[in-house]
Amino acid sequence: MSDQIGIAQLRAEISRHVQAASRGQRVTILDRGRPVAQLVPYQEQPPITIRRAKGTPREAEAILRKLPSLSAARRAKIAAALDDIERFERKR
Amino acid sequence: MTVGYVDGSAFIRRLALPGERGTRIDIGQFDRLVSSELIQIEAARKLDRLGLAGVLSGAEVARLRLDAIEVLALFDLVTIDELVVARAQQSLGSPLASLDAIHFATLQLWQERNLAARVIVVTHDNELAEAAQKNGYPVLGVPS
Repeated sequence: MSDQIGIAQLRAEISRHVQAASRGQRVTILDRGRPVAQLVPYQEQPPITIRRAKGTPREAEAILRKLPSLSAARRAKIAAALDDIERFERKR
Repeated sequence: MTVGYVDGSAFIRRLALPGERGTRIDIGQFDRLVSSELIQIEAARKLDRLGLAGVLSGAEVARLRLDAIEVLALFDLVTIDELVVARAQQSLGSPLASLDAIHFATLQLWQERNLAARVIVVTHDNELAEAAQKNGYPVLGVPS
């Protein structure tokens, strides 16, 4: 079941509409007569699987900063090759 | 909490182009680093191709692969499971290629489960940057 209400009415009766949504009702919110949002019942999100970090971003940055620096010519060559690789990937 | 969502294009530049101005995004500034596990494949494949193209030596590729493994162990890496695959197939509102769609779907799914986190997207990829910006994410690392 769906109810349609304007923003002013939502403001005035927010508790009632939140309760209605928590009971399973979808409340469509109108801005000058146009549907712009919905208040829907909360649903627990299914979990995503994450392999957790074994350290901090600062440690990651420290490792990257220890990498040997390159000459400008080598950097330009590697940067150009990476651009080529990515252009090729985007075509696929 | 400020989180850096890093994709393969930005990561490979920090790895293979140490010190280059304009590509050096300080990932130590974030409270947490997040990516898709896809970033491991992206890094390995790009290093392999740089080696095959003769741009990096075999020894450099081997060393950078180890560095990539060491740095990515410090990221939260989201598994490409059925949730990610399903979301990546939906219309994402921007013209994204498959790998970008996996990153963007992962970013959205992670954010939906961490609503209070402020996520900054770190990418060198214009399409992913555009999709992120359209959805209100600040972006670092895109070419100017």
